[in-house]
This record gives sequence, C-alpha cells and structure tokens, in this order.
Amino acid sequence: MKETMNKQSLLKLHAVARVTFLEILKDKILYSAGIVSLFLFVFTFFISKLSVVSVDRVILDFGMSVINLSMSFIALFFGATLISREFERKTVYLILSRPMSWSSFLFGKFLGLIYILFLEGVLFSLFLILMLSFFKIPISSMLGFALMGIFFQSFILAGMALFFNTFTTTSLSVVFGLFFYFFGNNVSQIRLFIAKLESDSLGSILSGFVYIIPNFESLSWKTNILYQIGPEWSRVMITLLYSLSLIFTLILAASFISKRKN
Amino acid sequence: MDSNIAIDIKNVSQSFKSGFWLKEKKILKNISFSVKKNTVFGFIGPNGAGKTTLIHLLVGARKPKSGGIKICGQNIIKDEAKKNLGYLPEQPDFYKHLTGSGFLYQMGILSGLSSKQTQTRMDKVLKLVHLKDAKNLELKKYSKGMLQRIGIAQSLLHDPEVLILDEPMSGLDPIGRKELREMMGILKQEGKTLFFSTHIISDIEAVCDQVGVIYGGEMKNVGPIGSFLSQGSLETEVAFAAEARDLSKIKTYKNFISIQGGYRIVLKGQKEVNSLLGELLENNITVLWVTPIRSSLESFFE
Repeated sequence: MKETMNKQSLLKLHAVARVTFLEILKDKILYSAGIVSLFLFVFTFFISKLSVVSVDRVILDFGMSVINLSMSFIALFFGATLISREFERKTVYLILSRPMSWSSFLFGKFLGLIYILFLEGVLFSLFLILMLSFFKIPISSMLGFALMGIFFQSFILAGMALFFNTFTTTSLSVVFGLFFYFFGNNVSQIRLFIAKLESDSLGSILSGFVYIIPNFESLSWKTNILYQIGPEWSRVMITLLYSLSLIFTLILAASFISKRKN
Repeated sequence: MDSNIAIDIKNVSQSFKSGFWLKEKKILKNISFSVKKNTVFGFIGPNGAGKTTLIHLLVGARKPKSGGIKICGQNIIKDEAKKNLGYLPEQPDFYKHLTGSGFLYQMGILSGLSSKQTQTRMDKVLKLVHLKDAKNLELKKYSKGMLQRIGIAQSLLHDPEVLILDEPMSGLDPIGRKELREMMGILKQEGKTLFFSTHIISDIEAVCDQVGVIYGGEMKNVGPIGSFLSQGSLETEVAFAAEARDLSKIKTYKNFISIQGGYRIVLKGQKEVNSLLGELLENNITVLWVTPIRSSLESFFE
C-alpha cells in the first residue's frame, strides 16, 4: 500500500516536472539565450587570438564563464516565472484541486527546470569539449569538477528564484536573484572589504550578510583547472552537501510560504 | 451526516489581507448550505460577490479562515475527498504547449490514476466531449468552446461524483452554451452532482434543480429553483382580438398595447384579470390568450 503511494507520488512529481520541462523547452527565450551563448563561444576564439595569455587558458576560462552565465540566466529567468505563471493562467488551482500537496507541486516545478538546466549544461559542456579538442587543448578530468560546480550554482539560483517568486513578482524575483548571484560570487571581496573597514558595527552587519548569502565561490573550481591543482575531496563533498541542503531548504521555505499564503 | 449530501459547507468564512497596510477584507461571511447528490446546483451572484473564492475553498485549493467543507462526507483537506471531485476553473488557460491527450494524461496522473487507467478513461471522456479527433492538436490551436470541453473532460477523467464548474458558460457562443447544457444533462443522468457558478440567470433557469444566491459574501437564499420562481408578484398577460373602435366598450382598463390583429395588457392580480375577462366576454370580444408571467431570478438583484 505504502509502496503504491510512493510510486504514485513519484509519478505525480514526474508529471509536473515533465510539463514544466516541455513548457520551457518550447519557449523562444531559451533558444535566444542559447544562440547568444553560441556567439559568445565563437567570440572566445577571437579573444584568444588577441590575448597575451596562453590560448588554452583563455578558451577554458571564457568558455566556462559563458556556460556559467547562460545557465545562471536560464535558472533565474525561468525560476522567477515558475509559480507566477501558474497563478496567471489559474492552473495552480486546477492542480491543487487534485490530491497533490504544495510541496510536491513546487518540487515538481523545480525538477522540471533542473532537467532543462541539466540538458543545457550538458550540451554546452559538449560544445566546450569539442572546442578544446579542435584547438588540441588537453582535457583534464578537473574540467568535470569545474562544470559540476557551475551546474550546482545554477540549481541553487533556480531554487532561489522559485523561492522569491512565491511571495513577490517575477521582476523582483529576478532582481533579488541577481543580487545574490553578484554578492555570492564575490564573498572573498566582501570579506576583504570587512577587514579593511574601520567601523565595527558595519563590519558586523556585513559579516552577518556574508553568512546569509550563498557562497558561490566555494562552487567555483575554475582556478583549479586553470592551474591544474586537484581539489580536495573533503571540500568537494562538503560543498555539494551544502548546495543540496541549501536547495532543499529553499524549496521547503517556498512550500511553507505558499501554504501560508493560501 | 446524511449520506445523500454531496457537498456540505458549514460556517465558512474567508478574508484576505490586501493593500500596503495589509488591511483585512472579508470576502465570505459565515456561509452554510448543502447540495444533495445527483442534483444540478446553480450558484449565482454578481461579479465580486465571492463565487470564485468559495469555489477555491470547495476544491481544496485554498483553506477557509473558519468553518469546514465536506465532499461526499470527507473533509476537503483529505485526498479521498479530492478523488471524488472534478473541477473546471473559470476561463481556463491550460498548458498551451500540450496536446489535448497530453494534457489529459497529466491530469489523470495527478488525479491518482495509473498510466493505463488514464489511457482508458481518456478515450471515454474525449468521446463524451466530442474531441476525439482533436486529441493530438496542441491546446493553443483549440477554440474557446473546445478549451471549455477539454476542461470538462479533465474534470471527468477520474470519474468523480461531484463536478464543480466555475462560470462554464462564460465566453461561449449560443451553440456552445446549448452543447454544454446538454452535456450537463447527460452527466446528471449518469448520477453526477453538478455545482456551477454563473452570473447569467437564464443558464440557471435552464438546467438547475437548486439555486444558491450569493451577494456581498453572504448567502442570500438557497433552495429549489421552483421556490425562487414562484416568489414575487404574479402578473398575467391578457390578449384579445379587437378593432380600435371596440376598445371604447371596455370601461375598466385603457392602457392597451396594440398587437397584430388585436391588443394586449399586463395585469397584476387575479381580480383584475377576472374583471377584464368578464367585460371581454360580455362584449363578444375573442380572447387570444391569458398567460401568467413567471417572475425571474433577476428580481433578486433588483
């Protein structure tokens, strides 16, 4: 009985995720973002010709940055419309009139976006690998770690955008998401700034802020790959656990807020 | 609890906080009524009366601030109650990127059916709503009437006892409205209980057994449609065949309206009707018709 219920819950979760995946897949904005990213990839080639640094390093650095930016944009933009769109067309009431909880619904929506991010990430990663092979740049196993970090960063951003979208508008959700994306990628700079501050009270406030924002720098293994330094396994595991628990907390918080609101 | 009750609403109130200061606004005020099984219940009220809010509570999409709702004896917050319930939202804007069958498949799975059960039921409901040929078409290519019909199909997919339709007739052309009325008749014959909201009175008069009137968040009246129609003053129209010169023979009334081949007049009360008929017969004037005029539900909002 319990097994049937679990199977049924998984089926429902997958049904919501599938519809979300197909909806985003048919959205022109996804393809526009993809085309811009491909242009940027091609642009990488010209940049590498102009740069004084080694071509290998420029292509790797720029290529991964393009994947990061593209996946972050998709995560923020579509994450911030996942819930509001359901309310606009009133389909949320239709789904909640079925035996389905808010948390399952939100998790299904999130999962659908993760499928898209994963698909996009894999395609761009393959493109990057093709480019590296074309320029005969050696592909290190470290590339996998660096890409995994980018994937997880976009998953967290998607969770954040979904969370913000449960209590604010789409545009504000994107703004909040961008805010955390920017500061989350500059945690070390903020810490440096705090160290140079003379005011203790402002320093305390900023230190508190650093603890609140997700530390995206910890997910960045780009430096490791550029300088061929292997990452510490314990650090990798801790960072991945941190990312998963952050995503889980965001979805739970989003579910709690949605339930309270309704 | 009476096992013959499909929907039981007890002391339901709902309010929302809105505006900058989050001022609380009462939308529904202590609403109680019940709907018997295998009836068509028309839920009528002007725009903004609280119809859709009550429907969202009825289908379990929102929780009431106070009070409780039961569907076939089960509390609506329980999954068992939701399995007995089909819902069509107002002016649905379903997932346009899905095909008709893709959409029904998703709704079947969300209703708790297995993949196989969904396929079997899908064929049946598509046949009922005459959309079998359009099942592979994307919903964005559907007309408004077709969307309404696929909406009804999804509400019937899990074979629920109770159907809740929010403004199902809105935006439909006369043919679409007629088809929907016929479909509602078929569903009632199949033993379903239908609860539908509208602000169009003729829809209610055409298909309902029971009517509930909501105004300003309060239930003003609930009962059989007959009791609503018999309320108010009864008027009678009398028509007779006469020339203009014959009118001088009638002493009691003057304000006749000319019609082809005669005249007509609307009278209040039986005494006036008897008096006019007496004069007409006395003067050998042919009576064309004597018709009581039904009071309309519209009078509840006047």
